[in-house]
Amino acid sequence: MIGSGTSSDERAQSYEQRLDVHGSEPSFNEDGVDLTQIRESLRRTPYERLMLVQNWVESLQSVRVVRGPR
Amino acid sequence: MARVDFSEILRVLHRHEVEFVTVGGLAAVFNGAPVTTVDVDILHRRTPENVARLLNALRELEAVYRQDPRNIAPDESHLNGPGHQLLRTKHGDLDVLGTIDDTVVYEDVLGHTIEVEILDFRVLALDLERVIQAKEFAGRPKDLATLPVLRATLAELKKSRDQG
Repeated sequence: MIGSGTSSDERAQSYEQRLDVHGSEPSFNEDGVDLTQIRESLRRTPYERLMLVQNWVESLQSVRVVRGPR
Repeated sequence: MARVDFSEILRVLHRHEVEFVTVGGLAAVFNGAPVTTVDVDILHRRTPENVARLLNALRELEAVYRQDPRNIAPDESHLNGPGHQLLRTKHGDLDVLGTIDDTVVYEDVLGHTIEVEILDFRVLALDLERVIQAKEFAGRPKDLATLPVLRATLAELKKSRDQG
């Protein structure tokens, strides 16, 4: 791709490097999904995950208030 | 609205002995997927007794239709039907669904659930295979966008089960 700054070989190499970050366990799957986030989430309890979601919704609401009409 | 507290919504439903399964994004979260959601989605059992318990719980939660400025509360006829009631409660948004995938009811999904512990009580959540199926059926851009993460989470779960 013109102007992309990296060739397809370089991108492929970069992808391979990311796969090797944790040795035998790839960090990303073939769709580009970050598997480290999934493993971290699976280590949490359902309640801890629920709290993370709640905190995220709360932070969204505070952003809305800050950026709302004046 | 008071502070968002999804666990309190689930606690009130549990205390009123409402029979329901958590579905949608929150079910995906309970299964371990690192995704977010802005509401609680439940599929309830549509028997007269359960609808009565659900109405009591919704009254305690001060639930009203969130897209209607008149602050209308759901009634028995709404909850007896197959439709989706999009509600706002004092602890956050709650979608009460009579069906998923157009025709699938509470009894149909009981064999596809996991039990989730929320501090001192437990609720049922749709298992990840069935969540993925429902997202595929819905086919909305927001559902399709999460599918790669949900499928990858399912693969990781299966891998850890095989190893465990």
